[in-house]
Formats: sequence, structure tokens, C-alpha cells
Amino acid sequence: MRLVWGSATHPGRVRTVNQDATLAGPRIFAVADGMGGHAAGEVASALAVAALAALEDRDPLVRADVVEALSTADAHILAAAEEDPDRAGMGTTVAGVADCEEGLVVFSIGDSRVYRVRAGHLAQLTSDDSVTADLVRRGELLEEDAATHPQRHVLTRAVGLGLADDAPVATEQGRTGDRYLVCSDGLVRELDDATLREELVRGTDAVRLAQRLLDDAIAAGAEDNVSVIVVDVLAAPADEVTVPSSAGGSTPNDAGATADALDVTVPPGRRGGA
Amino acid sequence: MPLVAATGAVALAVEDGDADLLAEVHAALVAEAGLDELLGVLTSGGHSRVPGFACVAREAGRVRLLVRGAGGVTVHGGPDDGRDVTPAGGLATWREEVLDTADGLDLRLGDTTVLLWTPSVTTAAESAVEADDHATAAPAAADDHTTAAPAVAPDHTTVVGRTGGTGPSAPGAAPPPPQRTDPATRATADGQQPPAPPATPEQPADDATLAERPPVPSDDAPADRPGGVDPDRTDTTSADTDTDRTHNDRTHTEQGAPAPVTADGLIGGVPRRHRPATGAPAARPPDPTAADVEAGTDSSIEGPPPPAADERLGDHDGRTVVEVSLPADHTPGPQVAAAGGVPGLRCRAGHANPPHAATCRACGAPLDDATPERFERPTVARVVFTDGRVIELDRPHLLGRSPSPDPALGLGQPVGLHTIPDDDRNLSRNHVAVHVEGWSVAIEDLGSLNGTSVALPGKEPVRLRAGERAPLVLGARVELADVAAFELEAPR
Repeated sequence: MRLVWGSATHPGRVRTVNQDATLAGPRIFAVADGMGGHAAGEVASALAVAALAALEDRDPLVRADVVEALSTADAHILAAAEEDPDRAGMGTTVAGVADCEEGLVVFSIGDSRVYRVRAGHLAQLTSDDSVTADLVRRGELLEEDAATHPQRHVLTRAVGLGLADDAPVATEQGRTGDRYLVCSDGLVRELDDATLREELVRGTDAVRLAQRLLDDAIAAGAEDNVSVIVVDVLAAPADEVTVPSSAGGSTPNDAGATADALDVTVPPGRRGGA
Repeated sequence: MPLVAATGAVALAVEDGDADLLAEVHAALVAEAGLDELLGVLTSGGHSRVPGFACVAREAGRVRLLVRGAGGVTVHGGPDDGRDVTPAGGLATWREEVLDTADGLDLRLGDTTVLLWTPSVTTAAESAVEADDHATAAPAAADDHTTAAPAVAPDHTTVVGRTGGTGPSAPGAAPPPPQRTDPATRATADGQQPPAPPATPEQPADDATLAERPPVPSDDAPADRPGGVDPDRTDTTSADTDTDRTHNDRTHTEQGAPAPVTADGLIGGVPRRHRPATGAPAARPPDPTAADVEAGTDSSIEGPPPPAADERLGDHDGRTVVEVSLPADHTPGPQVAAAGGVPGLRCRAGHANPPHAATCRACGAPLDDATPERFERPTVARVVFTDGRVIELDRPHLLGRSPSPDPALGLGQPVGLHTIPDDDRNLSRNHVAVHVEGWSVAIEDLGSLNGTSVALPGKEPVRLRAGERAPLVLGARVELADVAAFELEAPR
């Protein structure tokens, strides 16, 4: 799969420290939004991103590797927190896309997000692990009220607190022309879905688009750290050649039914394998 | 004359040369610059114009030393006892070594030992004796200068071309006081100042200072900001250029009593509020005082998160928390804002600047009246690639085809990762590290296959050797294996 990407991260206009960390390519694209005082949040996010970065030379890279790396990140952050009491309770969100053997593996823990633009349509591929998102899902809170709900900052899940097992991951077949957006909540807090879609559909190259989305968020106030990664699929193998024999008649594109929301959990047998 | 100066953490000797450059080096030292930042200043005129120097610093519990040209260092104590570190012939840059331990370091310029420096703590008594010797040795010349330029002199730990061999700086023993052999002009420039003892007892002086003056900004701000308007910039040129200076910030450092002199004569020129707190964060008062304003992300400043059980989990960009119960043994530390951060100046528009900047790097606003403060992790520069990618440099970064932090790189956490697209695999996985230390930026080639070249502003590119580290100043251009190039730009 041929990918081109742009990424940008900024502390925003209110925060003095950027607790976000990003990993942009060549095969894994992830945003981690750390939490915890005393410089702990940025350590947690950096550790999470480092665990994923360690996968980059793995060949082949498979979905189970990603799941394992999230567990590893969880363990590393816990261990680092135990070493330094000031860092106890630090954690991080992680969301991203990995170019794996099985396809594009989309993952998210916390409230960082992955979106996809395909044929002009914007789809949010991840669901937030937050109290308000849960309430909305249960029909107990209106979507439009979530942004002002007193518990809007409360996560139900994060990496680094022993909560990364059974990480929700979904696999989808990227197609040529697809555009993925990985971002921290600092972006979506400033730009509504319509604006986001407009920019993502209209935007030209990934490098400039990532920078522009960041600039837009900062112009809008950016009270939080903002991290943006835009990944464009220049050429997807599924579109290039027909896979011989194994596909058994069906085209690869058909096989790649996309996950519109992340509800797929890796079977326990697949975990901790590699 | 050469510049010889020291703070508690850094000592340096720079051979005579460009007076403006020496003044800048000195200003940076006074502003508590780290070794890398000092290197940045030293090399700001291009590699070919870098004077010879010997530089030693305590960093992360170890001793780092750099020598170039006529500069040399003799090590006392530890496994390297008696060893002379001199730059190899024909070295285009400088030689760098890191020692695990050393009891004393003699800085040399040519055959002259110019400074005896002790990287570890010496007793206050020893220092006092030293200072006393200095005080008596110091000629009472240049009274006019005393009133004219009090701000500059204290910083010159002033030392002195002490001729003779290497001093017997045995472990724990106070080195012999250097004798002033400065030419008269030098005496005029600095003579009113009790020169500082060469052995630098950082701890006693610093601790005493901290005890006397808790780190509360604003009330004594001017005294803490020696470099803001670069009062030191011309101090090594001549007394004349100093006479119109009106900064009396550090007049208090000129009292002659031996012991105080030790504290101030040596370190007095260093902005004390800027010193990193040496105590554990827990030793600090548990209330977020004004000094900790920069730690604005701390939850102790933010409103408490809604569910009480979550408060202990700290903050997520200040407010977000995770809804879980922690095991009982998972008790977080006290809610104390860490005393870290980098001292600097904030311009009226809010941009963070190094403490010795005269004007804001981002907007050009004058920093004359800027209040010094600590910045938690300022964006010290932007790495702007030719293809439009930008790294906001607020932490060390690894750059490469597929960067992955390796603990052996010693970058600590957090480290930023920046992948440079390179289908042809000409870049190494971890190609270079961009170090951020205080306000200074340095680039290190991590043994890349196809190399890295650095061009300082207006200079020809110089290729880095594998493992070689070079300071970067704004405007420096770096090429990575002909695959990617970036320029270091001022933050926005």
C-alpha cells in the first residue's frame, strides 16, 4: 500500500505543554493524548507511541502485533508510573491506523479519533471511551449536549492504567483515494463535523492539510493540545491486481467490508502471540 | 584576553578573539545556558571562526567536557585521574568526552591553566577561603567602572591567566587560588569585582540563595534577569562601552565580605530564580505558587474534575480523567507542581524567549521589561522541512525513515518521533537526533549510513561524522542523506 501523510502537533493556545505525541509512518499512524500532571502525561503518550514505533520494522506486520503493542504500552506506562510516584495514574489515549497484512487496522482507546473520507463521505471509525459517549450511546444524553456535559472530560478507558487489554481494533481494506484522519480531541473540540468534512474533502495534499487543520484549530482557540495526522492512500494493493487463487472468485474489494464503528474485539487466542 | 568563567554547573575557558563573541558566550553562561547552548553561541560565527576553548559541565550526574584548539582539560580523581584531554590535531570541530566522575578539572588554554573547577560540591569554608584570597588579590581599580557597569562584572568569575602547570586539585582539597595576572585593561573591566573562586561550589551557594529567597517572581524580577537586555554583551570589549550601562541589578553582589562573596561572586551573576531546584519536587511547598504558574496544566490549578474518585488520576490536558478505581497501593504523589522548566522571558504577545534574548524571536517585540519566568516546555524552534512538514521543537526528536526511541540513545522521555518518507531507504531508521536542552538545539548523527550535513547561516555545509553532535542556531540548514532538508526557524 502506498501512503502519503502529513502530521502536525501543537500545544494550543492555552496549554503550555504539549502532552500529545504522534507517530506518523511509515506504516503506523497514531496519536496519543497523555494525561497526568508533573510532566507525566507527555511521558505516557511518548511511551505509547514508542511501543507502536517499535513495530515498524516488523515484517510482516499483523493486526495481533498492534494489539500486543497496546498491551506493551500499557505495561510500560504502568511500570514507569511505579518508578516515580509523581507519575502514578498517568495514562494516555491512543488512536490510529496501521498498515498491516490483513489490511488497515484501526484502533482506539480513549477519546482520540480516526476518521475516514471515502468518496466524499466522512465516517468516524472509532468510538470515544468517555462517559458522555456512553451516555449518548445509551440514549441518555443528546449528542448536542455532550460538549457541555460536566463529565465530558472523563474517560472510561485509557492506556497505562491496566485497561488496554481487549483493545478495540477493526480491520478494513483501504482503497486508493481514501483519506484517513487521526487526531486528538483537541481538534474535534474546535472544528465541528461539517467543517472537518469540508476541509478533508477539499484539502489537497496531506502535508498541507494536516498543517491547515492544526492552524484552523489554533485559530478557533485551541484550548487543548492539538494533534493531526492525515494519511492518503495513493495506491491500495487491493485495487492494483487481482489476488491470485486465494480470493476464490470474489474481488478483494468486496472482501474488505469496512467497519463503520469499532465493535470488533480480538479473540483472546490472537493476543500476546507475536 | 581570554574569557574564563564558571557557574556551578558549567565552567569554560575561551581563548582570546572576537570580543563580541566572547561577550555573547559570557552572557549565555550568565543566563545559565547549558553546554549545548554555549556551544551554539561559540559556533554561531561558523565552524572556522570558533575560538579554542575548554568547557566542562555537570550534566545528569556526569561530567561532560569539550575541548578545541588551544583548550585542554586535566582530570583529577576518578578513573581518569591525571589524564589530559586535548583536542586531536586537525580536529575540525571539537573533542567531547563524558566522565562518570571527576573530583577536579583544570581548564587550560595553551600551556596555561586558567581555571580549577570542581564539579562536585565543595564545602563553603573552602570556598570562602578562596574568595577571600581573591578579594585581597583583586586590585581596587576602576572605581568608575564599579558604578558604571555593576551588572557585568560579577559574572566574570574572572579568572585569570594563572601561569604554571596543572594545579594539584586533589579530591576534596581546595585548589590553590589563582593569581591575577590580567593586564591592566582587564583589571579595569573587572577589577572592582571580587573575582570568584575557581572551584565552584554550586550547592552551598545555591541552596543558601534558595533559602534566602524563595522563588517568587515579580518582586525581584530585574535582579534575576541579567541577560534580558544583554547588559553583558559588551563587557569584554572595553570599559568604555560599559560606562553607559545603567543596570544596577546586581550591585548587591559587590559587597566584599568573604563568605557572601563566595555565594555571589561566583554564582551571583547567575539568575538565581532560574536555577533549577535541586531538591525533590516533594520538598517544595505543596501549593501552586506564582512560580509554578507555568505548570498551568496541573490539575491542582484547574478546577477539580467532576467525580471525586478521579481526582487522583491527574489530568488529561488539565481536565480529562479516567473513570476507574485505582488499586490501594497506587497512590499518587503529592499534588506539587514540579519545579522544572526552563527560565526565560515572555514577550507582551506571550511568546517564550531565552533569558538572554533582547527582542522576541517570534514577533520582534523588545524584551527590556519582560518578566522572567519558567517555561514548562517551550517550543524552542521549528524544524521546517522543504516539503512543508514542520516539527514544533518542544522536546528532543528522533528523525529518520522509521524512528523508534532506543534507551541507549539517552534521550530520556518524552521523545518526539518524526518519520521522513523515504521509499528508497537512503535514510537510516534513526538517522539523527535533534536534542533540545534548555533553549539550545543540537543535532547528532546517529551513525547514519548516508550522512548528515549542517550549514550554519551563511556558511558552507559541514558533514557530520557518525555520532558527531553539532549545535544548531536559527537559520541553520540540515540535509539528511540528500533525501530531506530542513531549516531551523524561530517559533511562531
